[in-house]
Amino acid sequence: MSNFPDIRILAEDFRAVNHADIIINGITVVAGENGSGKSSISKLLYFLYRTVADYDRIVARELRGSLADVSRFLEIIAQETRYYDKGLDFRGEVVELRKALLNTEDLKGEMRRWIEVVEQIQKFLSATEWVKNPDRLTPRNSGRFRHILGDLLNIDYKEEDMDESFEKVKNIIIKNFRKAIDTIELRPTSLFTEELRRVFIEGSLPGKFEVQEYGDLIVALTKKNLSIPYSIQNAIYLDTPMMLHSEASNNVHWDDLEELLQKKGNGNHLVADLINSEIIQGDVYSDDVLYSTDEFKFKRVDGEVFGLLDVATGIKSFSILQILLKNGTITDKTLLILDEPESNLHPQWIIEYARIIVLLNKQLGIKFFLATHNPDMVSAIRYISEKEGVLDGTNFYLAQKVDGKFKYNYTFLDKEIDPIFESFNIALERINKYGI
Amino acid sequence: MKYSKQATLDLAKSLNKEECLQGINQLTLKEGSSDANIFTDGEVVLDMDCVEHKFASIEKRSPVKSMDSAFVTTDSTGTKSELVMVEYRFNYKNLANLSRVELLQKVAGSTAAAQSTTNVHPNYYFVFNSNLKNQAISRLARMNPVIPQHYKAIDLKDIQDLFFS
Repeated sequence: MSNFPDIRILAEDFRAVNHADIIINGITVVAGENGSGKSSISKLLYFLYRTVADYDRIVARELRGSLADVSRFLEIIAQETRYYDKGLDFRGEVVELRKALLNTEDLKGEMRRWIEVVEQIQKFLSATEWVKNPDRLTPRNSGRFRHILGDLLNIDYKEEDMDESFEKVKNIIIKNFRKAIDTIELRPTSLFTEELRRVFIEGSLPGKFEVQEYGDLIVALTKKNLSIPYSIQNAIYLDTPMMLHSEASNNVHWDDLEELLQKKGNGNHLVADLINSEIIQGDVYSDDVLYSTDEFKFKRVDGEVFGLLDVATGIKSFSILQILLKNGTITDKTLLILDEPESNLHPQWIIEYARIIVLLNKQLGIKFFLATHNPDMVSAIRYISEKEGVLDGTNFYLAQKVDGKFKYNYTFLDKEIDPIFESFNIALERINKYGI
Repeated sequence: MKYSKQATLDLAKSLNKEECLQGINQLTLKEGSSDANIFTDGEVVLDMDCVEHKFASIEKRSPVKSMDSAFVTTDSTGTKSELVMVEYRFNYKNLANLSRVELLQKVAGSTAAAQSTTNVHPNYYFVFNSNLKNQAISRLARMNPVIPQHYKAIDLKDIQDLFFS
């Protein structure tokens, strides 16, 4: 066993964060007043692991985006050609090409398939029967077709350019695939910084951002490439259970979570069962085919069934964990980023939530990055961790304001939580000041 | 108002409980403090458990709960004096098991034991290790029914600053 922490994050000069040097060995708790940058660090972490752990998929998603016009063009052509030859239908193949991009591990093979489909269409359009009927409206002489192809290739299309144009379409495909293949091989840091620029629209990138794993630098904005992480292979960002009500949001992490919740799987899980029997007195389930999160049901222990969206917000908070545990999304290589999970919970359930966090860390080795404002949550994590024997991997941090600035340094408290309470107790002083 | 060794000795004498005087460093160490010798050697306080046990024995009754210690403070002229009651809660278990009823009983028991020999300081001090002080303040403030505001959670350094410096 090395003495290095599993994960160490260094962030400087980023939004409200002046300096943060944070270890994630098990459960990491950060506390601090509003606007101290806790969520900024949470999101940095989330989008980092979203990028590095899901790198191939993100590249494939970008590739799909960059080929969107090509695939739309092919779809239109496939649709049109069907009018002229009912026996010929490329549409299925075109749709399949697009879908396959998100699941493939063989981009070179996919590139060949795209080229083959284009060549099939090209061959079909070059067939003599089209030429024999020059007066008939065909894809070859359609103004719309010419316009779309011209737009795609950014040229003023002329009919006689068709074969040459198809060569250009093939070149677009090859160029984009090669770029994606190179990106996957090189793993440039720019993919992450581009992601950050999309998320944090305002402001600049961190002055410094580095991640070490077992003492080795795996991510740095100054490094050209991103290493493949080992100890954390997926990250999940949970803030409010109200995300369940959101059909389409501007929050990437909500959309990601919705996708994860819809993942198939209904395995037994010790902690999910404990949530059922000891806390929310019920279980969440769905029918086999799930198209959106509003189809989840909550079955109470007395047999009464409710739509998950109709139950208390606190039940939703626990149900999200239940679903992710049962469908196998949460594993020992998961980083669960919890942004003020206490927000919707009764004090009693705050303690239960803390207990679940500790048990998930103890039993599955799941890592947590937890931002909180709540004294009970901090206290419960601290003392339940000790009782359950996982205090060694539990660390606390407090965001402390830099004098005269709206910037914060994150102070490492190790296992000491009293400084956090000192900041919480300002609220008590205010009650005494403003009250009777 | 600051600690007065002479006034504390005089109180012990008037209660006829001089055997219950103890060095504050020794007492806090015995109660589980990890901060040894932060007070000046020779500074003594009344061990209120001892005082209560002696009274209970004389009065042939069971001892009641009491604060751990008390000492007398006087103003600069020596004309005004107050008895300061202090209870020590140095480990987490003591924090975790903080009971409102017990705190109230201790204050009541010690006040009775002091037998109105002198004015009692308006605040009752519950001393925690420094790394638990703010958690204790939080717990005291959130007790239900609410604990009186003159029940104060502090640490040894605060006691020293308030009365011994």
